[in-house]
Amino acid sequence: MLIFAAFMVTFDVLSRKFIGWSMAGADEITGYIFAISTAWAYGFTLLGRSNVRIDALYERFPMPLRALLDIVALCALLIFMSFVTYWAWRVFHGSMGAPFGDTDVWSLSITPLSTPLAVPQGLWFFGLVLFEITAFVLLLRLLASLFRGDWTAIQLRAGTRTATEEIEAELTSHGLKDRD
Amino acid sequence: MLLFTVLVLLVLIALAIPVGAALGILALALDWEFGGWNFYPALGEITWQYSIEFILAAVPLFILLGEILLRSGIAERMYGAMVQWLSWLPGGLMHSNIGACAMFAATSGSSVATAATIGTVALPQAEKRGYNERLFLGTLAAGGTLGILVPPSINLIIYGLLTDTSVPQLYLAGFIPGLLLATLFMATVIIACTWKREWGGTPVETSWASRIASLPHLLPPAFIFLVVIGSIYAGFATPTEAASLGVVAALVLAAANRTLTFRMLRDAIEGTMRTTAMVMIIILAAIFLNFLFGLIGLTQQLTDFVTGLGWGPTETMIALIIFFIILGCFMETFSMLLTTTPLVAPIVFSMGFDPVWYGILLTVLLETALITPPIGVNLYVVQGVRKGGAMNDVIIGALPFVVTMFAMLVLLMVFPGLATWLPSLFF
Repeated sequence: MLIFAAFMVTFDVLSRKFIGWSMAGADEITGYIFAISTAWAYGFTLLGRSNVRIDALYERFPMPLRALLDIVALCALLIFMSFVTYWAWRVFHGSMGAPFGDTDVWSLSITPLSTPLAVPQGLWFFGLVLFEITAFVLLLRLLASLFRGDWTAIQLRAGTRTATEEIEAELTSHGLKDRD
Repeated sequence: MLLFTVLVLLVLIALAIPVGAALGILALALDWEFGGWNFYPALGEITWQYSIEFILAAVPLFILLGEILLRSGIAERMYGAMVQWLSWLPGGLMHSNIGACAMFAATSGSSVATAATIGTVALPQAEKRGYNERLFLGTLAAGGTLGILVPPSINLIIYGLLTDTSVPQLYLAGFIPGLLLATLFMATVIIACTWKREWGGTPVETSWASRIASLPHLLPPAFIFLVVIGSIYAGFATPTEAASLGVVAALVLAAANRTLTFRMLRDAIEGTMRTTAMVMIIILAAIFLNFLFGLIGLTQQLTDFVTGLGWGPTETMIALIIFFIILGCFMETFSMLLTTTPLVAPIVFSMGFDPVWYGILLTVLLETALITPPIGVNLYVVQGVRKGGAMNDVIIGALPFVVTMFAMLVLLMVFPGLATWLPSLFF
């Protein structure tokens, strides 16, 4: 987590540095930094349970159903992001010149910088792959909890924010807080 | 096709599937069902193009700007100055809450950041001075919503991107409605406190000397506002560049305040990236949807359907407003903006409404959504800052301001010039 944050600091310092000067291509580089740092942060958002979910109904469901929905929600996110990652792979692959069977022909951006696109796209794709791995590992752990019938564990890892807060409050009041 | 879309969307969202994934899966399902899987090769390029979109890069920068201001103590001093200047009105500190929110909104593009920042600073005062707690909480939740109406605003950037509307024009259009809404909020407090004197709490002692002495504390936010908005209208910066300038200015101010530490920066960036990634998943999915709706002809179908109802533009707009108010009770603002804009905006434009005006109207509706129960993000934010007490206090306290917002909507409908006059002077 710390290393991850450190990466983001670096990205951000870079962006700040580049933006102050009106050098040609600053906007292009900002765009790349934006794409890459966002892609790297997807997994982080997932672990922080910060993805927006409309829990108007969810809140009224009993625990096991909620836990099941948590898993369904994660699967849905995983499916959608897998498509995004796959597209990202095609874009990245295309820029590496793979269609011509010749990896020396890299696509360059049509800007004064003529960036070899495969570089930012590769880093971006890597961020998405990291998300996929994070989500997949999380899914495995949730499934493990599911078979143990440990609903609370699922909610703590993947429940919506409000639901988790309720549980945590309850745990604290029963003196059970220190479980993670 | 229309029924299919609405049903799938409703089911996915009701099941508490993350909104980004719900929109994305809907897009995939539509492509599968009606597009014959034809469009999906193009989606890779779209993903990349929008991931590096320079206008969108303003989103994390504005969030970062707010995070830095929040953590640097600048907001706290600004609130102190507002107390000196505004607390003589009936309702005392509650006016300072609204004033400080409006001013903070002018440096921040987010309503949540505004409510959280001002809430943190203001709440300790409520008990100390015997205010009616509910109304006090209400001013914070409602005042905070100004964040997305008073420029800079993150929501207006996204709206501008989705509808091809100029962001600088939208920002100019937000000024007058933003100030007017703040004034209306204050009027609400005055009315409430004239009616029930005991709600007003004990007044703060002020003098002209201390008012003058507090003025310098208003300078940092004014400076940032000038840097961000000034650079856009002076014509030398795009919104994204202005946001970067704002971040640099905020860092300089934080350094001058001696609150710039590595830890503070790390926290600020962590918070920023978390929010940005969350928003970007939804934005990407909404962009796919936007693209697909156009390609499979759904937008056309929906427009035909609405035109077929035979309602005039005004009736349609009123129906839309009611629909948004109901939707706003259950949905969070970003999701609402991104889910509905691809569908609704083409209809509205085809009826001859001005895109800039509709952007502002929609923003006021989103503000209402922020404080309408059961899902009102600002209600949760204020409750979260408060730590303890019943959620109902915040909800009831915010209700009078929901009424105020309805009044604002009516004003916008009757006098569209409130939004369109200022941009028409410049463009």
